[in-house]
Amino acid sequence: MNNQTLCHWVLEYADAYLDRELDQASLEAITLHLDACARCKSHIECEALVKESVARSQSENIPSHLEQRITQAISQMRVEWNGGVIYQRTIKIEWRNDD
Amino acid sequence: MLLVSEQDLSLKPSDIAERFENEALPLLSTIYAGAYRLTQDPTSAEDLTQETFLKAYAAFHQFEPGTNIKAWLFRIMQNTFISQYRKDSKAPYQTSVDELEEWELSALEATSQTVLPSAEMQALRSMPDTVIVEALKQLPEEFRTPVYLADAEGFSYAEIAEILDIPMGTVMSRIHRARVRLRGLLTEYAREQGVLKDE
Repeated sequence: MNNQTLCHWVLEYADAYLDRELDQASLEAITLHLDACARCKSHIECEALVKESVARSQSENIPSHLEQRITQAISQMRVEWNGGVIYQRTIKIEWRNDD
Repeated sequence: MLLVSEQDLSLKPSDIAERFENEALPLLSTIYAGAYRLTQDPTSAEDLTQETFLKAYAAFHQFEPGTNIKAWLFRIMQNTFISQYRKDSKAPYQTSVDELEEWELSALEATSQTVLPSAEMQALRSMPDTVIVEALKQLPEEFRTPVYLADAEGFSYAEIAEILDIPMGTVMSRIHRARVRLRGLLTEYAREQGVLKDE
């Protein structure tokens, strides 16, 4: 692979590299290339910063009433369930005369 | 003679309820955050969260103990979202997927040619959260979700493929393109703010 092809390949797999989704050989090949190619290196560093940005942007707080609303809905379902399914799950006792 | 045929006594409804409370319910705020990302709206996010948990509870006897419950819940949520919420909107998701590449690549080319890498990194580091959230909102849902599942929730590509029911290669290319586009949007913002200057 010449340098340009290698750069192209590295840029294509930059995300898999950051996400630790590459096999050992590809990982080593990219690490090696990054030591030699400043352009690819800064590209990957910027991509890493974008990844970090997404990770830290997660900030929606759950509304306080939602947990209660859901547990309540579940407990109502449980009553129906107990009324329905548990009936089917009752142990069946069968008598059989062997003699 | 007395024969007792029993239907799996280990799965009594009361046991399932207890396991659900211990294993699934602690993930409520995680699922809500995911629902918010998908729906982009607090009320819809609440509804989607509730629906996800009720469906999960009804199907919990099918959940294999010891496997990844977080991925299982996300998968239920994704399916619910697709069948319920996506059909309500007429957002042209399909066309956006194909149109993305040309635009994003030319934007990236422009950025990397005119801006010093160190300046771009500095701008990205100091990017306000609100700007990142806005940039994420601008991504088509097919791109936002994989990148969110990978970066904010730490799912592997294999798990994301499972949750979204798409091939691994598609996960990889969508994450790649989502990050490129996000980067374009963020540097564009930095430019507008005068944080980034062309050489």
